Amino acid sequence: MSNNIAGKDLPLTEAVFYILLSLRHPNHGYGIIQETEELTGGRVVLGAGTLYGAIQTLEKKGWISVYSEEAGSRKKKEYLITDAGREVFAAERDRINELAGNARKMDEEV
Amino acid sequence: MTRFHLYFDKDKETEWLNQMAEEGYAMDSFFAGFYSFSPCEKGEWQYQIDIGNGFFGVNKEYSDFMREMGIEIVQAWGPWVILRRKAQDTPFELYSDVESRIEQYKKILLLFKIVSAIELLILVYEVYGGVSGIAYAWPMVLIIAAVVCVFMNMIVRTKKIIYELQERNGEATAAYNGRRVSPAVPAGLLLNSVNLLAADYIPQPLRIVFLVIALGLILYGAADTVAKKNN
Repeated sequence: MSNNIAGKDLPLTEAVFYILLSLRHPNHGYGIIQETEELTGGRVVLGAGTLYGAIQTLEKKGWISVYSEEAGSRKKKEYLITDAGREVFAAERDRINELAGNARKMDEEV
Repeated sequence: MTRFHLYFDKDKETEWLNQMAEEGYAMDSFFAGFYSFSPCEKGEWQYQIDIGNGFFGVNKEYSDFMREMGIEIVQAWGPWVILRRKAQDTPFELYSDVESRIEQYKKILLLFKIVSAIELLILVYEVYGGVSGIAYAWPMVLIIAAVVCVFMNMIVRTKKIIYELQERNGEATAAYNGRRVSPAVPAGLLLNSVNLLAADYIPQPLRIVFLVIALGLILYGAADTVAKKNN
């Protein structure tokens, strides 16, 4: 784990985890909701307020950034994960892998 | 159709707006407690309430985002935002996890605290007015004191909701033992205020009866508040 990731950043909430994952390629708000719903088989359906708040926070933290913005009065924005965001995501993946590895012990040892 | 209602509880307000939409009345504007409804197909809309980040309405980024989600901002009243979308099979929830729900209730709590602080300042100002002999200052003091009681209760209620959500989320928090002010207290304060305001129109014996009832309510309410915990 990189030492510039503060301990308080992890674990990520499920919402943040799937938002970051959905932004490995440029994506807009509705696309994030759809992709998360597909990936979890409909288990996680992000609420619009939850997503809006998370996007604001993640942008402020520098984990995601605006990729493109539509011209005109309706500014539909696309976001993309940043290098810092990828770093945090990798640290979270390592943490989850550790959990999963340890979880297997439940079946191995009696 | 217009209905008057004063809601300080967003959950009750949401429930009411959705119930009205179920019956074929879609709320389309709000002004100082007056809700306007126009006819719609039964259950055509689903309503929700959000608390914006600004004290004066929502910013363009928020409204653009919500529009992209197929959500319409019906009315923004200060930071209090009423939204709706065309009904879908699933319930309309703005916040899908406990963490963001806690954040939303924390915003509501802050809002109630700011409003209460302003009320207390006005209260001090009116007490000063009463001492200086300004007309109607004392009845105003009583009315504002009653409003403060109502807001104190909303603060306690909101804190309790936050506490329960944090507990559900496995966060270690000290048990919450907020006290709610008995509704008899503001009722007594208001009755006393009416008694003072309408002094010239109420016969003297009746005024004494009202005063006794008002004081009784306040005393009963005070005792009830002290006796009950977390009700």
